[in-house]
Amino acid sequence: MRNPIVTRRACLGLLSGLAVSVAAGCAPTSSAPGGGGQGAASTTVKVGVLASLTGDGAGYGQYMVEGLRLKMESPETVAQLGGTKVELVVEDDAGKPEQAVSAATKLVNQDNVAVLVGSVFSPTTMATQAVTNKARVPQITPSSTAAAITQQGNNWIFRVALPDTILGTDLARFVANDLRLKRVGFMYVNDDFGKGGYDAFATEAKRLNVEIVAAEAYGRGDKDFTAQLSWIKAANPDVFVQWSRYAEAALISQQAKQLGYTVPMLGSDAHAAPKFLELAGQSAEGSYYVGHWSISADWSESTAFVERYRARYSRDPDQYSAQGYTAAEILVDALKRAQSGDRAKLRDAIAATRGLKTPMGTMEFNGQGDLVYPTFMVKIVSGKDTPARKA
Amino acid sequence: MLAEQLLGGFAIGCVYSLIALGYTMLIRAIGLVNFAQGEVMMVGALIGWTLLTSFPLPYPLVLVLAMALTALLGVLIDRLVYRPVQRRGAPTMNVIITTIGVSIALRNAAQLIWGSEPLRYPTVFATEPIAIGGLTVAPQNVSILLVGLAFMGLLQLFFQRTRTGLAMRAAAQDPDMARMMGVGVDRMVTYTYAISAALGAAGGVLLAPIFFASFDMGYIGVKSFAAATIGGLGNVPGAMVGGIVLGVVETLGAAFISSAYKDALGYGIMIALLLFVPSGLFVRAQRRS
Repeated sequence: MRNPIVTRRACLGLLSGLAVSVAAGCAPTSSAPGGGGQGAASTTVKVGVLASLTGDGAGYGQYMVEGLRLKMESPETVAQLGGTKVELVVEDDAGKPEQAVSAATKLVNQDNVAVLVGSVFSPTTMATQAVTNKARVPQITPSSTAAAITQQGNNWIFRVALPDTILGTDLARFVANDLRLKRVGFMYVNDDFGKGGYDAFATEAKRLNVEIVAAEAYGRGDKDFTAQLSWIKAANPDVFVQWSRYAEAALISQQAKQLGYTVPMLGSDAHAAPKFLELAGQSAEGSYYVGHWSISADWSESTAFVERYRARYSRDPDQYSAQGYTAAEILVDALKRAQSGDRAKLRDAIAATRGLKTPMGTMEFNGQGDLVYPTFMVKIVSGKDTPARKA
Repeated sequence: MLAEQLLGGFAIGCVYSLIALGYTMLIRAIGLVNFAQGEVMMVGALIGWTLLTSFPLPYPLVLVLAMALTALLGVLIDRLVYRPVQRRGAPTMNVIITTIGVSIALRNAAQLIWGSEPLRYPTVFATEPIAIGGLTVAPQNVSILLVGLAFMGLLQLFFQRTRTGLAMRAAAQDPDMARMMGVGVDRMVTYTYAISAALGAAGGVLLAPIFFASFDMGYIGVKSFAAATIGGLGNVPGAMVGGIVLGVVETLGAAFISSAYKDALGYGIMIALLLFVPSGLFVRAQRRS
């Protein structure tokens, strides 16, 4: 809860700024701005953004924040929100849970944000949701996929990404039903991300009578995978699946090709990062991945988003940009309906999202804070994403 | 499968050897453990990346250029940091701590210059495996092995057959006597820094096409230090053998015992070896007491 001294200072700030909503600003659950009131007749809603902007996950965070900014700062959004001005407060968590917690605490208690968008990775999101839950601040994570995130009995957490259980399950179905292959060699990173993907895949594979002939794990940051790949190859699989982050995924893809792998290769949504294709080069040709969104999606919301993104940043968006953008869409839609920067009202408005058209599909939350929409299966052809499912 | 793994182990071992040589030469010459050696290797790999992606240069030329530029960096660091610290009479332990400081500075500088994402070398080795009598062999492993062995051979020739090499050995073994015989000991130390940095860069440029180049690849320096220790600190042939032993043990351990304990196995072997042969496989060349 808020510190009385901060509250008093907030009120003084509001008075001196001649803001309208003085009463709302001092109410204990409100999130009206601390020193705000630049525009005499408008309310300002502070939106906290938490992402990995340095460290080895910096690429993910940058794309996500760019997507978010594209939506939040567009003239069209400003017009739609009318008197409500949005102010973004961006903090870096470097992909580390401990840094994420202190940054989230600062955003919630010092900056008094009305809502928090972030973080990128599952461990950082997991750690920060305790902070937002306690302070009763709605939090939307654009990209964290660990299934457990929305299973904590926390009403304040929402996510744009699909849980890894759905991604793993869908990939197993694709192997069984579309590729019609029966013997899987599986390789995964030995942490929550990799094990989550493996468990989901293995459970569904068993149900569909697809056999996992070899499964090998590796440590995060490993560079040489020839030992595991040799074992998997010796088990003679007819399809190879890996659940890795992009840097390791690219190395595995290259080393597998060098060991003479000719079977189809499949991967997780981490392959959606453009960096994967850049690093893996020719070895990624003909491979598949299960994702949330792809630049090859052909519906109008998606193509319009890609166009705008290219116009502003002079490069292609990736899945994380689309997720950041979609989180912003959900937020703008909720702000329009809530007509307020009150944390509880915003939470209810976010939960009530219905039939919202976004680049990632038409969005609606289930009761748990997860969105329901189909995965996107991609095949890399001539170095480009193409839709892999037959329509 | 054994033969393929063995070849991979030899190749990565050669890279360890090249970096380990850098450690060992400095220990021999001035009794200094240079913990920035891994980071020097990293800078070499990144310089190589810049050269390869900015200019239409062939890979062998890039290898040589990156070695030359990194050698220059090694000498600069010595002139600007280590020597002033030593001249002010700092005990050797403090100079060693300074090398750790330099390694952190190099890491951060590299992150600022080249960013935090891994960088891919343009394809330099053939990616299709070669089949030799039922064996599939990765061409890059063969290339690394050959280039690594060639450098080590050249280094031995240099030490045994050239006047400068002889002078460097003399300066390392007995600086005072060498000085009396007219050897510029300071200059020999500068050469030592240059050569160890160049060997590190060679390791980096050979490694980067397989593992990518990035600011955090310097951790391999720690493994190479272990390799130098296995071979006997301060012993040049020891560093070469130590690197290859570590590479092979690590790779075979990952293949036949457990890939999860790959690093633990490498270091476990080091500890076990040191328990039985406390000064390493090769006895260190004695310095004058």
